[in-house]
Amino acid sequence: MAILTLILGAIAVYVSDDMLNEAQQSKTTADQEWSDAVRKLERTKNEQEDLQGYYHQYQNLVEQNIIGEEKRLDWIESIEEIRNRLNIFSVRYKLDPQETLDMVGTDLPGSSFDLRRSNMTLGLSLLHEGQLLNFIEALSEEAKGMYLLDSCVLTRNDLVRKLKFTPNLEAECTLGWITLNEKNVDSI
Amino acid sequence: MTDKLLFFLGSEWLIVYPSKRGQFLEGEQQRFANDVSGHTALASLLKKYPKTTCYLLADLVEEDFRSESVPHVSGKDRKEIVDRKFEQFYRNTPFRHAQILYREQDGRRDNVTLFSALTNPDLVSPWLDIMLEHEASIAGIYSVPLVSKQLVSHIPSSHLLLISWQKYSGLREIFYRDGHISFSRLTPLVDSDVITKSLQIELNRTYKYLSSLSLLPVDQPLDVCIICSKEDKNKLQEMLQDSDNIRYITEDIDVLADRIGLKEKLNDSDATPLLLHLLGCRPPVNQYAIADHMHFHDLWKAKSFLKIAVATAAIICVAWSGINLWDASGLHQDIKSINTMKASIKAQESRIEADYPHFPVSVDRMKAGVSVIQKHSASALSPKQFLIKISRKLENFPMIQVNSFSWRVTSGSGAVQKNGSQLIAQASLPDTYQEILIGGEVLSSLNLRDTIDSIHQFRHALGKEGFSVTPVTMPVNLDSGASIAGDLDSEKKLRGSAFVMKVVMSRK
Repeated sequence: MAILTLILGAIAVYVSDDMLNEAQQSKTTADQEWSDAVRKLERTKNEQEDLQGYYHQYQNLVEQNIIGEEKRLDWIESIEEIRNRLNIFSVRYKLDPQETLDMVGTDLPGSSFDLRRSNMTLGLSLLHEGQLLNFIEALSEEAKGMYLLDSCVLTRNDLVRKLKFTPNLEAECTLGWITLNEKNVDSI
Repeated sequence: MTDKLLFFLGSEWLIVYPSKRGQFLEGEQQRFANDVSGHTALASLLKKYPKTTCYLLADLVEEDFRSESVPHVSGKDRKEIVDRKFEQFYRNTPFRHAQILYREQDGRRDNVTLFSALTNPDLVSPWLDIMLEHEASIAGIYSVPLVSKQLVSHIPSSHLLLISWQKYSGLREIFYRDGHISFSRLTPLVDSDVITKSLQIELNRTYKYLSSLSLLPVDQPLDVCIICSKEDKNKLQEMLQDSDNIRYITEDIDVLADRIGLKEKLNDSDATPLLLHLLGCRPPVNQYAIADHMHFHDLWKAKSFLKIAVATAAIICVAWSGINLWDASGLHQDIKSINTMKASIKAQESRIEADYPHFPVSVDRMKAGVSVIQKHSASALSPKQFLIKISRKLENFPMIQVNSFSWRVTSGSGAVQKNGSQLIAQASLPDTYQEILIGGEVLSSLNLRDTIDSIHQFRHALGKEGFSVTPVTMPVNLDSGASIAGDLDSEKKLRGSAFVMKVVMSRK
């Protein structure tokens, strides 16, 4: 009887210990899963916010003609409008054929895009150097597109210096209009 | 149900007082004569109360006491010495007892040990044989002189003679010196009025005997304590008068019974119930029983211990299991709560995912496109700030006239203009910078030194603004390795005042 009692007691302890260990392991797993779920929820919330932000930026770039096919006519119209508003004597432009840039070797992402550039040479006859700076600033703000200014050469026009309402300066600037074209278009 | 059988053994009779929870069972006392009928009756009693613990209190004339000094040793050595003494004093009886009274203060500081024995085993053995035959649980065999000390422990006397009367044995006189038993005598008187009739005679005999052994106190009376009923006490107080040699203390047996917790009403001066009650309530260490006599009791104790141990272990196991199950139950509750919270979070996540806007292009494409443009946009440079800073410096140098500015974005140390394709690819590089080639001339200078000083001052002024300025062309090349030619009579302009310098502004 005593041995039976001891055996039953030992079995009870063993079984209850086993149940407790199992419950502890389940609790640890549940805690871990709960932590993972909380982290995942946070990540999902952040992703949603990020996506909203990215979507707005993306849409903005599309509207600015930066993503998509280049709009050369828009650029020329913008240049003409700015020239008229700033009363620049004359503006000459030359737009080279568009070329695709090689992004290999840079840390730029976007393997699903082609980065393209159209080089433009602008010749301006100016009354003073401020007109050039105003022109560049206005082009950045008003033209639909993104350009990178490479160089500007400003030269004094000695021959007509003394005359009123004649250009005192000649400027020649080179810049590149940047567009991003999707290689393949699909939607989610 | 009886839990103890308290036996009182006289030379003629064996009396049993069944006891339960420290009190005698009324009307259950039995008396067995030392003959066949008595033995049969005892056997019947033992059958009636099997496995009940038995205490045997012997009050026999044939009990001997002697004090001996034995070396102060312990363990096996002490046992050997005691056994040797037993063989020496009490060879013919197994009912032997030794107890240390005190330790001597002088000499070897031996232990003064009281050796005692029931010297006529035939008076005990028949009863014991029957008990063992019926597997009675004998807790011990005790002696009245060795148990009685508890009755007078409250009397502070160095020389005390205790006199008690047991109905079935007789008048017992025990002499205690300094609290230790020194001498004991039993007079087999069984009449109920023995105390009043014979006590004086027996007391005188004992007094003379103690006097002959020089055991009496020298300058104080001998305290004589007599345990008796109230009735006898009154008679004795009339009969016995204190003297210089003897001082009487009569203890009312009812008062003593109250003191030790015996509730039974005592009718006469018989101290047997007192002694048995003491034995049952506060049993001392076994005195005369040997291991064989206590075999069944030891077995019972072992079983009891085992039962208690098993019960304790079972309780611990049950408690342990209960705590485990309680904890496990708590954990399961926690898991349930966590799962509920997890389901709520997942539902929330599903709702967010369901509410995702549908974009026309994939998310990765959007991210990539925005990222590319952001990087290029960040690399876009304008000459405005550069030119404004140089213009401000030029205001301090009115003698310098700028004829041309050539601004460009470049990278690395090479001064060669790179084409746009290379620049766009490198636009995100951190070493991209702006540079301006300033072509000008110095006006109103009186001589060549002033011209060169003005150019250098302009150069240093730009340098203080944080620009890196390098002269490309100077009005005259003063390098020691170069050759110079000029015409001092010519016009100043022809003498040369034009210069070109490169100004570099780092991206930062």
